[in-house]
Amino acid sequence: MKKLNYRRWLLVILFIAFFIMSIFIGVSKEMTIERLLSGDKRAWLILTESRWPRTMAIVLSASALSISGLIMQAISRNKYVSPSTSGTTDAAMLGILLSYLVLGSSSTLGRFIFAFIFAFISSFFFMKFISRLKHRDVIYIPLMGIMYGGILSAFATMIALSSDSMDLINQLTHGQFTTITKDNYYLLLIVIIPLVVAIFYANKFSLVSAGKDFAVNLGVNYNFVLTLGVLIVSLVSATTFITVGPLPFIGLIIPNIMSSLYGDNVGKTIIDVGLFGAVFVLINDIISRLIIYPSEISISLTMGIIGAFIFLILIFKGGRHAKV
Amino acid sequence: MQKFSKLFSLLFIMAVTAFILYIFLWYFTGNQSITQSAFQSIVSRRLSHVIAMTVAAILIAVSSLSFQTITNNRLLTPSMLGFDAVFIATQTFLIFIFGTNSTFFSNPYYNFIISSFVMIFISLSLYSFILKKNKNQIFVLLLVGLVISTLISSITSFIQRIMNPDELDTVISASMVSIGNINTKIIYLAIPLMIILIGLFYKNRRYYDTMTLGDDNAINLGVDYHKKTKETMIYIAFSMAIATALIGPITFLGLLTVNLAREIFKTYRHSVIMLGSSLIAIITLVLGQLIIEQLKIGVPVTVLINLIGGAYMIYLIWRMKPSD
Repeated sequence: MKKLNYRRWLLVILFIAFFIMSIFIGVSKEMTIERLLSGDKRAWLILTESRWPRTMAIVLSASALSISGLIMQAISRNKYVSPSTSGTTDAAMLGILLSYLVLGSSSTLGRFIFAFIFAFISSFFFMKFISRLKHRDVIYIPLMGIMYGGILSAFATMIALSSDSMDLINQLTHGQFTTITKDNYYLLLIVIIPLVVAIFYANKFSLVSAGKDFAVNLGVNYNFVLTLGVLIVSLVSATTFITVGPLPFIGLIIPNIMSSLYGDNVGKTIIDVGLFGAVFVLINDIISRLIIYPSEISISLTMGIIGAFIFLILIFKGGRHAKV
Repeated sequence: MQKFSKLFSLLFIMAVTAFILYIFLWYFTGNQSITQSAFQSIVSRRLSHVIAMTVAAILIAVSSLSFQTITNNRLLTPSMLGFDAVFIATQTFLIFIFGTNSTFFSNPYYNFIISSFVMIFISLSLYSFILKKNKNQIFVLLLVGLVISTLISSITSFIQRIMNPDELDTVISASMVSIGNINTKIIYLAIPLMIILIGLFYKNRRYYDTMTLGDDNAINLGVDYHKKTKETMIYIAFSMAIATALIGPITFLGLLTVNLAREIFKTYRHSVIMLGSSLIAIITLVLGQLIIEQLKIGVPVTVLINLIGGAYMIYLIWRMKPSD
């Protein structure tokens, strides 16, 4: 127990350190601690209008996506399932595209509702599909999920091409924290609700991850918890997709790294998963801002590269485990 | 073979009809007042399109079939190994390192040979690395392939981000391989390679018949399963590299046509399905391209086929029995 606390404290310290770094890195030279302390108006304006919303957006979306990855892995009982390997993200994209075509570009709420409904239906379909093939190889399920996501995005491409909105797709598929300002980050606050629910139900999720019969024997309402999980994941996916765009691999690697340190108990790890996810994306965001400074690259690229390397390591380590 | 001859002749007639329609239909639906020489040059160009499509269709169908046999799974296709990402990356790096005017990029032969070589090299090193390490885990291979293709496309986007705009335009047009802007010169290089590859696949047909029974049974019947798997993987890498360089990535064409052929012919004999699925693939590709041209939908045929193939895959999954 002591060891766990020590590690968690380390995470908290890292989190605070990178949080502060993220706030003070940027092109504007006017934004320094001294200026803030001396009450410089311009420095405070930059902080409240741009830096603070951006950093908060990173923290919220990163921790929400990591936790929804954790939940998805628990309810599907598969280490390689996450919103991006089960078609959920692609469904959200399809929903946003359709909302643009049906409702026009102005309505953020409309986009959100479309993305959420599509993500929910699609994840539900995918969960049903998984339950049909219980005895398959562990890796087979994410493979199917990625293929399924490929179909959804082919569909989206088709619609975009025939309605001349290919630019929109390109814009949607690149994760950006650059565009986050005070005015549009409020939508991300929605994720706090599913996060709180997730932490509240964390123990139920870990019971479900032990198997249906086991969970039902212990008095868990299996179908309710499953639906709740899918609901949380779709809500988080839709919200983050609209505000920041896709963040590849995060829902996959963060829970896996954490469970290799702490084990599979969702109730015990859920907070650490959220914190670690936030730290990871903060680091990635700092890298994307500095690598071709003063310009910056899309966070999707940085995370695509770093995340892919980590995921490859995880796959090979997993393979060795399974052999022993 | 006798009982399939009716079906074969039907498919064959359909393929020939599709050819003729593709080569000549434009003349009757479009503007007929063109000179003799213009007519001839258009016909010869469309003839080379048809040949390129045929070569690619046969390679994709046959390699998808053998891939499904060695993985023992009807829902997989070798396109998932990430050939398109590697192809685009090769084009990007050629331009990035040597510039747009270098022979490596602008000479179609060099370009074709280099791209195919890189695709084959990457997939073979992947196979040998993973298949050696974990005996016969093709699912691991596929997942790693998918992750690596994300990795490669992220790196490619990064390079494109720091390129100058002129080079970027060239990269974009070079990586959008489609039937409209096919490179007719490389057909003469691709045809002999295709014949050799098909011969090699065909030579193994009886092994594949046996391998359909599963690895245990096949080994019991005296098939060197792992050796055949590796050998087939090498052929598949060559085939997919050539097909991708010819007409660009079509993920679901193989999946669609092989499964259709299985349903139509209702046999496990690979010699029959090889021929059948190749014919179906040719018909699908040529007719698809023709329909898109005639209806002026403005969607590449590859996207259309991905959509149909994807929908068919969902149908196949849905039809499966629970825990099959």
